[in-house]
Amino acid sequence: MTQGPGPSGWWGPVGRRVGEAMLALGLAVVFAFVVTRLIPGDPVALLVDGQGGDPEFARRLRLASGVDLPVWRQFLDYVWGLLHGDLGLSLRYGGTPVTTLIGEAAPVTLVLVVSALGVAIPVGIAAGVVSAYRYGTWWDGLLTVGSVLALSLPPVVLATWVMLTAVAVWGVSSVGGDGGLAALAAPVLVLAIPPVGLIARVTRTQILDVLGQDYVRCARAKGLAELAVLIRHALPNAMVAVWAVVGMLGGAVLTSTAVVETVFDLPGLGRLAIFAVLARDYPLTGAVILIFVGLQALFSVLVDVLIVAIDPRSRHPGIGR
Amino acid sequence: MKRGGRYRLWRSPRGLICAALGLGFGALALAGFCLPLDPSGLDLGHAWDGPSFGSPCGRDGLGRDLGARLLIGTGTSCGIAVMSLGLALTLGVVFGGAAGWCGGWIDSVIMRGADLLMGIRELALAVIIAVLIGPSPAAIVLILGLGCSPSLIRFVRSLALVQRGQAHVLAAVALGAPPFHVLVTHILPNIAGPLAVRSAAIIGPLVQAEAALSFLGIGVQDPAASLGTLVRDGLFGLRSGPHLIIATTSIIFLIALTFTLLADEVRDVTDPQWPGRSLWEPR
Repeated sequence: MTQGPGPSGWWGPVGRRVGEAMLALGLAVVFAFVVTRLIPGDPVALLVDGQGGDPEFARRLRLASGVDLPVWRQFLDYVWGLLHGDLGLSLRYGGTPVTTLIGEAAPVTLVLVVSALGVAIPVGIAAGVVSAYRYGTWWDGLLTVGSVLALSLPPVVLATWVMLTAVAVWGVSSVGGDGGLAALAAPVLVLAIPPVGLIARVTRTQILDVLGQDYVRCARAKGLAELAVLIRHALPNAMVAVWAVVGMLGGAVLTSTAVVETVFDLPGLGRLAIFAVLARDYPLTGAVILIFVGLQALFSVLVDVLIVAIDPRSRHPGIGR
Repeated sequence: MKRGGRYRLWRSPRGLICAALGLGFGALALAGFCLPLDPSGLDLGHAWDGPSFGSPCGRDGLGRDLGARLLIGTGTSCGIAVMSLGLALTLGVVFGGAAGWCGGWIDSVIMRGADLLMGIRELALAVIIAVLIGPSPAAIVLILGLGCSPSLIRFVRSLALVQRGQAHVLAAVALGAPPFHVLVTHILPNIAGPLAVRSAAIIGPLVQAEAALSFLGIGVQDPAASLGTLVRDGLFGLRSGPHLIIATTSIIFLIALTFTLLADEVRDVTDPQWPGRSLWEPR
């Protein structure tokens, strides 16, 4: 076997994606800084008015926050603060550090996203595999109709329907208010359903494609059990495209959490972000931009590492199918 | 290469139904703007009224005519989706075409830019644009248009790369045609088909995304109506007037369903080799 052109091994594909993620993060830092500088007028006056308007406090705050320095110096200070975990003070939460607010909201959103994907990926793959193996039967029909319906039920629709049902059937006006794990069931379900539809469709297409390949025919011809054919030969080859779709889904699910958190009244990052934008809380908005871009970058790098791990072809550029 | 492909769409019953539904929603959207409706006239004495002769769909919490608001809201949402698609297609054709045609450093710069934009998307992009230019319909068009442009740029680039090597393009270049002329008369008509298929698949998710962003409050603002703001109004009045939220979410669901099926149908017709062909096709 000859080695193709370009670097071979893990670092080629993964390193490239890490570099892209770093660039996106760098751009996000610039955006976050620009956003924090958007405050019209004097940010210190804005902050101090909320605290009672003590001029001595304003003078010390101006000195401490460095708003009189030139812009490049402020940018460097911002990056320096960033590296030390200091993102500034919120304008609307009485000067609470932004990092505290983010730290309180992040676990809610992370639990939602991780459990939604944790439900959606296995269920979607299983549905796709069954659909492909029962191609053309009523199983396939049922699952295909189901996945089309799932794709057509965005969180805005599904979440409000859950609320409607809750009000109509149980007479309660809140499904997720008390913050317990059981209360997260409805939001997770709402978040998971559209990804299930998408993953099932991609898996079905890929498995159908793979089942027609020569290596699958060969595996069957040598007498391998069908389950072994599926697990050893069909699934790994089909999974590459599926994981690529999952990589694109991370950002979409993060966006959907904003809707779900608003409908179910959960104190997560999405709701914090929307609040920050609408209330013009610029330091908080900057931090929210950073954490969203950071989470998406982390997620896409993780998925890429996974793809490189399961697909040897990606470690050897130049060697085709 | 696929002669008669476009006629097969009309022959299959599913394609016909989807196309009719799609046209129906288009007509509904246009009707909202053409009929003499009053979507923001207040009538607090009739708040949350059920259907009546004067207002066949009932009224909302401020006594506004729901039928009018639903029509105008559907029109606004579809209009925003179409404008975002137009922006994304323009960016895709201009930058993707330039990258595929020119190659070299122009290609590298454009593709790195697209990768970068790919890293800042969805909610992060929405937050940045909403805070920079303020919550407005224009912000939504910019968010959605920029959001789906990277994949379109990549798509157009790959199509343009294929076309660049074709004989008719080489002939035009050999005859001394300027690049812009070649791009418009020889390349664009040949990539229009795949681009249309791609657009059919994008427009449904765009309507959903508009509804989500306006629902969150960073898009269309009250008293103007869009599907998103109507869901918001409906959620506040969940107990008093559930008819508002039922009607709005049903419209969003039906639009999404129509375009999902239409995109499948268009793909089945244009790509006979697709392994995941839908069930309704004879085997």
